[in-house]
Amino acid sequence: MNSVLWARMHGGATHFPIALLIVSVLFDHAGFWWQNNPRRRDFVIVGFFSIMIAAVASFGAVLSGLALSHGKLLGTGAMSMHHWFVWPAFSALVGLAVWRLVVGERASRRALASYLVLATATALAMIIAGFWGGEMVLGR
Amino acid sequence: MKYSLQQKGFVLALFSSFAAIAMAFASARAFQPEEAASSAAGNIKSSSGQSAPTQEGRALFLQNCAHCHGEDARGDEGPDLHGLKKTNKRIAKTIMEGIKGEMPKFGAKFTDADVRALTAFIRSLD
Repeated sequence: MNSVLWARMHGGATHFPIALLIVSVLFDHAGFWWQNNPRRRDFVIVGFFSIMIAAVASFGAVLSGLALSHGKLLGTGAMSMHHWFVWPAFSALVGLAVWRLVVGERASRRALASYLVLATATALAMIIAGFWGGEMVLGR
Repeated sequence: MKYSLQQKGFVLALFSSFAAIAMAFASARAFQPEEAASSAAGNIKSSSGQSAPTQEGRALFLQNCAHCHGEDARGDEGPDLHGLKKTNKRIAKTIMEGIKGEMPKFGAKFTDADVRALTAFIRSLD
């Protein structure tokens, strides 16, 4: 398969985990801070499923990205900036999803707060990785 | 010793994180072309003996262009830039305006001096 196809596949595959991770973090924050809101449980459910799908989809994004870059793990310039953020974000995203799957709704408030801090940092890292990915594709 | 669910979850999450990154790094090998090792030692790594604009151009190239044209400018996604049979004006125009569907335009990102430096660097590859 040629690089144009991989570029399109990576472009398509990568936006789902980014968007779903952001959605998950926003809804989890809503569920955490608005404890008395009647929709609190709905927020938590959306947060849960969003990060699950994001984690699964991130494997497609990573594999298509590796195919596009011919297996480069770091590279130079904009690509290295992209990778410095994307690898920790990918790793953290998978870990967060697994923790959420194992612990479910039985997490203490303190553990949930720690989870939210890490999930927010992961979403920020993913956004920055996306910015550098855009710099490579769009130029300007 | 009895571990809480949260502790078990933390250990599993940590293990999954490392497993995911190990899987990605291991699968990267499958996508690497065989000549990757040799091309990494390309001739643009060394900047000694180059003029100031050429060195500036080299830095700009590595930052913005190497991911497509290769770190040695021998081509990857984009074409090999050695021995281009194009005028400096044409090279500058391509950098500024890009090629539709193939190369992004850098007109809003690079100054005229940047484009001159990049052109000088590309010329130095002749």
